[in-house]
Amino acid sequence: MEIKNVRKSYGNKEILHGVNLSVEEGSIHGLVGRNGCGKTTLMKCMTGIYKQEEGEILIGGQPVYENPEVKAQVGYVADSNQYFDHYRIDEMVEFYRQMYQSFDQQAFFDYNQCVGLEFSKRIRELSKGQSMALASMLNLSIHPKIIIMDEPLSGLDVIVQKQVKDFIINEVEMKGMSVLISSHDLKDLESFCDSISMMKKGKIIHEGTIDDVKSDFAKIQVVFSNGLPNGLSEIPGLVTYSNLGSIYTMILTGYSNVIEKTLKEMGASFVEEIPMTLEEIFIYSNQ
Amino acid sequence: MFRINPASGKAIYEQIMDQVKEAAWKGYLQPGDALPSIRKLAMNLQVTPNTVAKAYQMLEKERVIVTMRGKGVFLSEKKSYGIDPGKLEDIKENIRGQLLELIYLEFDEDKILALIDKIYKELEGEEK
Amino acid sequence: MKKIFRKYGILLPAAAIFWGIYISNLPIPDFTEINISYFITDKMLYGWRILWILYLIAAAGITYHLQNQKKWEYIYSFPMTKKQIYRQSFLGLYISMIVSAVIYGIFFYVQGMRIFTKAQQSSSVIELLASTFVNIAILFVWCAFTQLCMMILQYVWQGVVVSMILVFFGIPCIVSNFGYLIENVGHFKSREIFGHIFYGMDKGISLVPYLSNLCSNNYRQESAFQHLWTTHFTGIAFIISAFLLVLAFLVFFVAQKQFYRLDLSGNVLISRMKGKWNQIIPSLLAGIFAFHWITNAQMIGWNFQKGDRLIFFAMMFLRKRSVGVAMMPAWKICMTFILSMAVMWGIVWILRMIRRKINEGAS
Repeated sequence: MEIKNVRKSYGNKEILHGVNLSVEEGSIHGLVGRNGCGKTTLMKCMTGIYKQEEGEILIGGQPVYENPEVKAQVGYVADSNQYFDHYRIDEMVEFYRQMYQSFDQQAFFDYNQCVGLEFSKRIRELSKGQSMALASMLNLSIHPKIIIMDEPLSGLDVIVQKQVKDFIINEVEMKGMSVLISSHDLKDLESFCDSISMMKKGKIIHEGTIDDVKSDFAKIQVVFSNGLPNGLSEIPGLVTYSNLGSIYTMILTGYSNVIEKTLKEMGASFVEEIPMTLEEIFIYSNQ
Repeated sequence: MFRINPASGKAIYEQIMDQVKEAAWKGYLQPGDALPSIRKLAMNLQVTPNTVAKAYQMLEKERVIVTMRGKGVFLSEKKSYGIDPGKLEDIKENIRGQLLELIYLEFDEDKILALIDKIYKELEGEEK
Repeated sequence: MKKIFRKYGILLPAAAIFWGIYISNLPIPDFTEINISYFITDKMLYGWRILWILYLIAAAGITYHLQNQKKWEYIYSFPMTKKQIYRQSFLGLYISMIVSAVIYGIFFYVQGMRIFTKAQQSSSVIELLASTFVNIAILFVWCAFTQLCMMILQYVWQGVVVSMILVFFGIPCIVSNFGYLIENVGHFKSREIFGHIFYGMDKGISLVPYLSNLCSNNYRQESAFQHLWTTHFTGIAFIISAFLLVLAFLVFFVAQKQFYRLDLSGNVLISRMKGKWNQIIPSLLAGIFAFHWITNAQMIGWNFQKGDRLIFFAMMFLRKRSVGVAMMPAWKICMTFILSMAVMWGIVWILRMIRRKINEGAS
């Protein structure tokens, strides 16, 4: 999927200010951002619910909006109950079977062997977690070329979470499905996604493989045995620092030998770069 | 089966590679056995898939494992273990460095060989 | 496939059958008591109105589902174009409306024949048939305009309110004034024709008392014991039915096209009409109706003379009654017109401002 320069407004308020994003075939791409940054709006543009004002959204080279051939290969798991409340699960399966040519009923039954939902239950009788799991199962059974998931794991218990992740991984490895998944659990995404886009206020601020994104920041531990030196806040790229006694932890937007030398000249007796987690990067990006 | 030590100075992908080789050497993995897929292993170890991919790539280069499209990743037959001369050079360099350190600690040749023997037996002993 | 909307489809034919049976079982009294017979025939006509109201409710329900952003917008992620979604949603309703109209038409016709037989009116089959067709055509016009309101206006409740006003006041007003206009400009006895078609009169029996105000008192007395329909008018009735059906079809088509422009993330102002039209059209319509109602009181008893052209235009457009005694001086009419327009413009403007403020506060 290719998203180029997409702008979208609600009335007079612009939500997306020129978003660029791409998902490679067969990869799992994470989308992270604070609530209200425009993730859900972007996803609704991707699935053909909204029409963007500017820019293109292409899946397999074809635009999505009002294009049933493309949409038949796109799965969409929304962030809240998206189905007809009064339908039963088996009616929902039948609905999907009629709506999507590639719907694989056996695959759905196999998934349900693990999850164990009763077919005679109505959607409104399910808990939030159950209906989210149902949405994932139904959409995965389409064998879509790309599945777009808006926080599909929230509300799921640990066991079902693992199951759904396994389902997704299977589909990616066996059928080459591409995934765009948004989540607030960054720790989770780290071991799941090949690449990530970080979104802030309607724009993509970091993008690339997780290592790429991590290389945008550096976390340094420095020991200043003689106390805080002057000029520490002048160091280029410094985002923030804190200390525990004489051990200072600094967050920088770039680290090089030059900076290491500068720190040593300031009296640092020990300088070490520490790996950052995605969560930390997210927090510092959003400050 | 695989464990990652985040505190160790060694890169994660190297740790993975070592563990695969260890498992193969000890017989936990037989030639033809399937290794977990890249993503599954990434999830289990809580590391990024790219890291696992890198480890598998390197292992494949060293012909320790082999990827069969559509089927998965398998431990290759012992016969196809090639010796990568470049890798051998790296190891020699490594050993050289370690030996120098031991010499510096006033280990003589016998003591060094005894140490190596001890470590080897420890590794063997971990095999039930 | 749109099983969710199927329940609406059953509603209409059921109502048609139910009401049809009801009117068939109403007793037909002696025709010396004109009031009662009038009452009975009213009930026959209510059937059409009932069908329309059910259509209104069903269309509102379906439109709500198609436009509800919070719960239902995901249906637009399914592999269907908006055209397909629209068709799938409304087709069932359209078909059931057609079926119901036919069913009720049969009951209507049969009951009509019974009344005429008892009243010893040798009204022919064709004339009653013409009346039935006119009623069906009017029903479709009502439904078409309802559909249009649903598609043009942002909120479903607005669609309901505006279409009710249109059907009960707007369309009759427009048609009756149109009749007056033709008559006075073209000197063509349109009122008589329209009167026969829309309000055939015979001893108080009316088949379509849709525009009860169209006919003058004089006219009413003249035709009091005349044959209800002459073939002259019957032929025109069929033509007008055909014309109305074409009109209905066009309006349905426009409504459909309007739906394709649906933008779920669009802004939530009063209607989907663009900018200034939002102000102009409601003000214009409201202004005209306001003027109509205001002047109506004063216009009772005005006696039209063919010579008073300029004033006639204004009054013809806006009056309900044709014959009266008192009259308003020309300047007063113009003032009233300008004032009603200005006041309505202001009211619409204020309402839009309020709505804008509410939405800004909410977002």
